[in-house]
Amino acid sequence: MGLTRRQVLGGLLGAAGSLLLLPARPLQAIGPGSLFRVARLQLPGLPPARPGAERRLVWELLKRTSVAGDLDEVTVTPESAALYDHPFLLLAGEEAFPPLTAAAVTNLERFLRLGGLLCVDSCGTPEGGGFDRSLRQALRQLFPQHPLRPVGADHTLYRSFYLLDRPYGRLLAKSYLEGIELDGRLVVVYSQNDLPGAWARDPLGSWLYPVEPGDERQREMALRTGVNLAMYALCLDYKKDQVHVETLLRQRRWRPQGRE
Amino acid sequence: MDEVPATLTALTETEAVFEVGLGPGGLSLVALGALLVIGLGLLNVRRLPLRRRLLLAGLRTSAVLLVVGLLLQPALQRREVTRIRNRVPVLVDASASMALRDRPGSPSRAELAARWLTEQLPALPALTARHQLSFYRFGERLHPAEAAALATGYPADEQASRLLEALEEAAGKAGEEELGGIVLLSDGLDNGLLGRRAIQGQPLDAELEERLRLLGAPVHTVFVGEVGGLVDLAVQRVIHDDFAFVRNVLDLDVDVLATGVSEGTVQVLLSEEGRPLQTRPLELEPGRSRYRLRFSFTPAQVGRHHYRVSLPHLRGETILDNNRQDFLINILRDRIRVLQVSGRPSWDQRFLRDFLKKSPNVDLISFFILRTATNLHLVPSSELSLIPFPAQELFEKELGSFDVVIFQNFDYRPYQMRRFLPFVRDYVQRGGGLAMIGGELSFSAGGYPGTPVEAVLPVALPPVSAEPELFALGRFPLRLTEAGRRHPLLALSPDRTASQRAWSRLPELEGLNRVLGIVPGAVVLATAPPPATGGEPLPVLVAGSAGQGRTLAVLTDSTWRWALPSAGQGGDLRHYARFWGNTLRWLIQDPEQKLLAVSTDRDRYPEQEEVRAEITAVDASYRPAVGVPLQLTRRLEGGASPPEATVSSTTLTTDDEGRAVWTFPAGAPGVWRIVVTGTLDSRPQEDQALYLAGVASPELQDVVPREDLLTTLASTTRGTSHRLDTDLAALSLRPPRTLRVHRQQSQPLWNHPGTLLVAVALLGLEWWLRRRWGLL
Repeated sequence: MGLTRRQVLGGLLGAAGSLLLLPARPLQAIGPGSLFRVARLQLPGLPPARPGAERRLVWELLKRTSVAGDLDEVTVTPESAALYDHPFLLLAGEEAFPPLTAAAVTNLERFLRLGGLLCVDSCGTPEGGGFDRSLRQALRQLFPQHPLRPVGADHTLYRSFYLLDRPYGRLLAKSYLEGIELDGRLVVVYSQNDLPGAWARDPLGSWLYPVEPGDERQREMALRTGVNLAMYALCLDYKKDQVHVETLLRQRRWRPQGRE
Repeated sequence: MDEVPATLTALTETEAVFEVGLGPGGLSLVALGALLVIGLGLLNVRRLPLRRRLLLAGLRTSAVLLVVGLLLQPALQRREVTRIRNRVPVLVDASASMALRDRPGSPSRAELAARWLTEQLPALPALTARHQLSFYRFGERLHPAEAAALATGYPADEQASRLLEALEEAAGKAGEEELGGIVLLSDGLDNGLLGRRAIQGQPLDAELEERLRLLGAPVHTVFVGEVGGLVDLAVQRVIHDDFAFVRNVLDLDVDVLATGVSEGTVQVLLSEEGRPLQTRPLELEPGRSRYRLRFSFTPAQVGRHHYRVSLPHLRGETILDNNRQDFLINILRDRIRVLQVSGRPSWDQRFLRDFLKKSPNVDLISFFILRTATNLHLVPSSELSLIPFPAQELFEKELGSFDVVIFQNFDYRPYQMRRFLPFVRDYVQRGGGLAMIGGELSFSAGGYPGTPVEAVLPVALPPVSAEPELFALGRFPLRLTEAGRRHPLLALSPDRTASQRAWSRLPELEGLNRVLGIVPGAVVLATAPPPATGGEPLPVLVAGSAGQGRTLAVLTDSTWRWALPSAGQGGDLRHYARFWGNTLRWLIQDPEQKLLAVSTDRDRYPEQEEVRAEITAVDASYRPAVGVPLQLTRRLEGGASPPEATVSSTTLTTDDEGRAVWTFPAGAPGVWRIVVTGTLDSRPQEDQALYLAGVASPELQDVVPREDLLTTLASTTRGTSHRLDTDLAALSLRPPRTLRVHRQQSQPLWNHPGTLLVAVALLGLEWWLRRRWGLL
């Protein structure tokens, strides 16, 4: 498939921007194990979707925030002990997958209960489709007492770094996120707006997937949604502290352009 | 006066009695029968002339009376008896309020009472002919006394007035003997049950009435005192809890009694540790003597504090001791206020925040630097949920309100904070806790070498220019030092062996901030193995102190691995929480973790009672500090005694268990402070304890004499109430009623045979006349 002149220019500009904007000290923290990573959760029978998107999210984090992160891609399986070294997991898929094994349920449930966060995205596949059905079945296995519920618009997730009025993605299929909350903390966040699709670039820096129905502003907001997810994982309800509330309430009068 | 044999009075008494005891029922039957017989005799005599009718009736009545008299056997009884004098206890009030003078220069109430007793002495012999007078002085308890001794003057020094209890005890001493009354000489002040529950102008409640009725004797009261003559301001009562919580509003209610003064404004002062805390104006009103004021304040520091409520001295006021009241309140820490400042979001910061936020006893303020000057700034701030880092407010104004400050991977330099670093140093030296947690923005990499903050850290920092020698990379197992194994900060379990086992199972840490060494007095609790190039083990956890505060250096940013990653290895997440919980407690100098501590077994001691102050000393490694010389001083704070009686000191040496005990009499009334000092691990240590000497006497808190109470007492017991112008002999004491019979003789009046003959003759004459007059 040939590249259009527009794509080449865009890619070159993106790559140049990447070089210019990479923080001076990309590797921070004195132990690499303490760097922020987005570990991809690999489930048996589910081909990974939007490969490399997690690397782009970390890249954006390094560029936009003070987080010290690692761009290396990490894959973990639900039964593995390595899961516990990566508190932020991404599960992106487009197809149906088999139910979780008992070992996977036990391990994953413990991981999430003790501090992990699982971000799931259906990558634009329809609600009720294969992936959606399999995911809901898997979450019922994990937390039978705690079904997925819409994440309220006043949740800290929407102000953990950027002020957002709704979740964004490559698509605007759903105006809310779903999640499972335990003891006041989200342990699972489910997006159906193809967040990784909005983050993913090719090796030359070009966006891999077009945003629909909006424009690049929508992609920017999708990146901000990803940044907020990472910040929520790292800071929890920090922005809910009383000391922040007054300032944030003042600022929430602002509404982003191009919203629905 | 005389508890011993009653003097007896001999008497001879003659009395007419019936020797046949029929009882009321029998007598009634006899009377009825007699009337029936007399009545039957009058039935058929109506046609006779009146003289004859009267003659017949007289004969029948005389005969019936004679017969009845014969049946009942009347007699004259002569007895030789003695009448026993009944008991009359005389109670003289000897409570401290009796030492008061109701007017400047006038005799005290006790002197007035003694003068009255002197006046009664001549009349006592006459009274003792009828009564056994027993004299007592009373206050908190009843004490036998001699009237003559009381009359010459007696000490009014009892620290309470218990009128009802004294009356009951005096009545009880009479046993089975008859009471002729109880005489009570008092100012009517009662700080026991009676005084609390007897309200002026109202009858006593049922319980008090019943207890007074059970005395079995009238109480005659003689009031000593002058209503309206006294000028006095008194802190009657301070209502407070024994403990309160730091930084929480504490309310105190103060009852003030103003006697003899009814206008103007007085300032009521509350002071803490000798320093004025608050003043409340008290507007005095005519016709009112009792006032209640409320003080509300927020204690700023934990510990047992000395508070005092005091009133000004009025002109003409003779009682000054009751113008103030001292008390102790133990100010407790309800929540540990923690300031967590983190240089960037990280897993280490995230798990620590999670722990702090979930700890019910932690009040957390977090500030995380989410974006720095090196980050891309293409977004208007109105689209960001970021707020400026309030460095000035936090470090210049609010720092003192935190118990613990945590600098977590925090480089102060981008925030123009250099000018605030001295505040951090001063905060620690004044008693605050500081933990610096490692990372690539911390310790030397955070620019702290040579700053005031380094001056309080337990580690010596290499210069910033030493980078990259500032870090040691790679994973390492944590090794507890000998001191670390004993230190409460690293106690993951109450059992030391279990604690060490838990440490050995925790995951390895990763990455270290390197330091030049530790400062004198600091203790290395845990280390990493020496670097491959050789040398000493690298310190990881170092505990130290500066001034009155404590500091901890955590030279890694990977303790979060004791949380989630540990769980991945089958570990226990509680160990992470235990470690940080211990750290907070150690940093705030939890009393259980003090190196040198002194405590007393109680808050308050009577003056002569022995105080036992126990001192415990451990070194910085929490080993018992053996053979350590200690200097101990105790001093009276703001007491009324002369200065030479207000300080004492001694030296002691700790025993094999690091303990020492100092015992001494409590001393003059007031608040005493015990200060113990000693040197532990080359650092001077000090601790203090407070106690109150002297029992809080209620006697002088309410000094207005209560004639009303004496009047109520008298009327409830059917006694009489008087003033000092009434003599003892004029009191309406019950006459003695109990008799003792020595000899008794009966002389029958109707047991002569002629009596029966006369009765028969009378009946025979009546029968003869009835036949003659045609009635038979």
